[in-house]
Amino acid sequence: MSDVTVQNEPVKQAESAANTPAPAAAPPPAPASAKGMPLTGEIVFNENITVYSGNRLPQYDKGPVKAYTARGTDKVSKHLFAMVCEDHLTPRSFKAPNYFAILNPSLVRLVASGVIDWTPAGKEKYCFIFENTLGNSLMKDDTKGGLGMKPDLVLNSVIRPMVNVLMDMRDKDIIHGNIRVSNMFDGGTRALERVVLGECLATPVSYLQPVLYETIDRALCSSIGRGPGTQHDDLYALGISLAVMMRHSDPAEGWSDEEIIQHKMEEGTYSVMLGRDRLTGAILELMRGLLYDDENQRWTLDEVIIWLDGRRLSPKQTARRSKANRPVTFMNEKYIRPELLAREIAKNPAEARPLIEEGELEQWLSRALEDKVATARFEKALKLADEGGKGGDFPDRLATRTAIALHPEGPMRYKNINVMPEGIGPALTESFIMKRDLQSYHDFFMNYFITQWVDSQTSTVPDVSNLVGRYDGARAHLRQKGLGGGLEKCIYAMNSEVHCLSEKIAKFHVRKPEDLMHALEKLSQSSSHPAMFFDRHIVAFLSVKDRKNIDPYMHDMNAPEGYRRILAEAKTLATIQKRSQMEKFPGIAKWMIESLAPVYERFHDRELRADIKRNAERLADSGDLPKIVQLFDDPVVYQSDNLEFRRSMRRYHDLEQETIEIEAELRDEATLGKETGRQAAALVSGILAGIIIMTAVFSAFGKGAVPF
Amino acid sequence: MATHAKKRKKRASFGWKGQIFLICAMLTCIMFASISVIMVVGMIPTLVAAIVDRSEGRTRAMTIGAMNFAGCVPFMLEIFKKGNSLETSIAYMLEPRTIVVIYFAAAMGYLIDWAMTGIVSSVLVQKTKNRLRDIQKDQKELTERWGMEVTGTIPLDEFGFPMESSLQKAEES
Repeated sequence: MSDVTVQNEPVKQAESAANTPAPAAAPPPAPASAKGMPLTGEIVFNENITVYSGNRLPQYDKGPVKAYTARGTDKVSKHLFAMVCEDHLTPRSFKAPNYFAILNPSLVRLVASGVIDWTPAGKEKYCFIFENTLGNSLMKDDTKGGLGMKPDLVLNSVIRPMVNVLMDMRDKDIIHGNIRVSNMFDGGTRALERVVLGECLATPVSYLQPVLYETIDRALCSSIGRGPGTQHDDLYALGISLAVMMRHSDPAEGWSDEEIIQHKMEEGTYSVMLGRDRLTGAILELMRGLLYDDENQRWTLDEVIIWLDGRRLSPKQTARRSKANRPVTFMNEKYIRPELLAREIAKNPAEARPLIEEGELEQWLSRALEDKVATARFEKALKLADEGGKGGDFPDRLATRTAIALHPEGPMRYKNINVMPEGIGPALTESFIMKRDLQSYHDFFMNYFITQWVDSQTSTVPDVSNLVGRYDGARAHLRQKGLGGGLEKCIYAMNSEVHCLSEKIAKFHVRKPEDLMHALEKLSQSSSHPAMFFDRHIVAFLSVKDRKNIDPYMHDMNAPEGYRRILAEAKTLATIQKRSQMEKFPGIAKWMIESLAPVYERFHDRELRADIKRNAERLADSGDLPKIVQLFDDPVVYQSDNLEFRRSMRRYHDLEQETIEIEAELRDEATLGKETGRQAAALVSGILAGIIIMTAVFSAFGKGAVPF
Repeated sequence: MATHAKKRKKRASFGWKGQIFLICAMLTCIMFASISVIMVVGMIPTLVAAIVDRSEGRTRAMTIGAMNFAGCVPFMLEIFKKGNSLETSIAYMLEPRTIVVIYFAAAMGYLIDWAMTGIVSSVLVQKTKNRLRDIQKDQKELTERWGMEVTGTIPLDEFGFPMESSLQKAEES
């Protein structure tokens, strides 16, 4: 990582910033809220919505993402709330238009989304504005206990509305990833008629889901690296939510996350969730269908709809997870399930090395587990780990590859990384912003675990070529050390929704090249703006967002000569302005002209330099960047300047030679011109003598000759 | 050394053309003996000048010789008109006026050489100095327009721009 720096504050700081009320400077007379509390910290969003940074709504908070009171004017609803996103948790902004199109009373309605100038933090943030029809959460702490709701009530008030929501979300290609009891609300009614599902856009998919609500494989990931998931995961989370609502007791009370996962593996999710509660009738069928641990066995949305229609489905054969007939001992613990062993091996790579290399594990796989496929995967993993040599981080590589072989459906676990393949982008982004170790990400991409993970899968991986291609790209970016490469580019390539993390534009939330232009225009008004426009982050960001804007100039961008980089930056900005047909940017134009000094110096002719500078300054107020760039983009001007310079050099040389000759002549000034003078004298004398002779001849032989 | 000796040998021997010319001249001198006397005595200053003159092409001897010959011509015409006899010729030569006129003409030739050499030399020196000033002015203009790079004293890159370290040195100097 070269000049990467961290832009955002860690969570605690972010939270404290979020909790800080807006400065009291000049707030207009605050309108009264519904409860009579004065509204403070007015921040205008999209002209007809006002967010009140002084009025928090903690009941709607999503972890570090805080909720605030908002009010709409004109046609916009008056009762709103804003979710102000945190930079390290990439908001799902690309899904906002699809979400916006869903009009379902059981899903909190999105009113608007976009960037807000969040004055308490002194920077722009992304925010979602929702209609506040939520009411109270069904359960504050949804990982313990149960609500003991009657199945009939759950069927009508929860299952039917939720299935409708999931159908709408499927139609709009959205995975909710936040389905849990604490994110379900009563809609403000005393008698629960219909639950309202809370939002899912302010954080990455499943980031806030407790381990309880995640399938076994996803629960093993770090919360940021679970990836986009599928609707199977939403249905599983719905099943867990229903179980929590209906059960009277909590069999998992007091268990840690690891214990929950272990028990789910040992006993199955259904038993863990509803061990002591006896469900009967149709609802039992649904719960079993939704809580299958095997994704292929789990009910799909269509099957849930069929069930709702009253048709009964034939029970599926439950596929049990493989279990060894005798345990293997690792770090004084006995393991009979390869998934749990994989987790421990990934956590303790150094201790796992002897177990793996001494053949004990292979023996256990082939004899105790009797899984030939797993044994073959393990042997291949050993070979792959050996490819990188046995030095350096070999134990980590060995542990990662072994863990993949033992639990192929599980996450890729390497050092502090614990992600599903699609979840690497948000995880890398979070680690970068939170100033965590990034070297492990570098090694993670370079070691190329993805092919082993893909090859090990027992079921088809959707869009596998795209997935592998992205990891291939990441390796290529890391090999490219200059601008437009490195880990910065991996961030933007692997996490397409992340905003630009450049320190130069830390106060702005730049999500598109056009946003960058506006941010730079605002930045240009500051007297302390940096000399150059771009840094590694901006270049990588632009290259990923729209390569046509910057890639033609990438070679110059990495040139050692400053003038080439300056010109490449100017051309890139001009290209964005032209291609996006944007308005004029006088601020950027002036900034550009200030930075162009080394470019003027690329003309030999000082008069030409002055001319071009004058023309550029004249164009500054127009803000027309392509026109300014055009002044420096005419090869004929450079060629003619160079030609004239070469001619002048020759002329200077000739003059120098002449000076040497003249000075040599002047050193002997006494003789200078004597020879020429004598020749002139001889000529004059000859002419004079000729005249005298002719006169004498005519006098002697002419008429009236006079004797001498 | 060998070349020098060869030159000397060349000067000593006239060659066959020179010999024919010498024979013709001798025959002419015999035929026009009276005029030849005037020539021999009258052209003594030219002969002296030719011997003394070390300038390239012996231009001074030519200058003096031309005027000296012009001084001899009127007397040669007189002798020719008076029968071209040797006695007349000797009589003329014995007259002081003849020698004064002829040698005065030769002196005029010397004067022309001295004056013209001086004038032309000083004009040329002045002209050269003016040219030197013009060159310096032109060079200054070129440096102002194209920078120190145009002088060729600074190491330049392939595009003709000074390498940074050399430019710094040049600026310091």
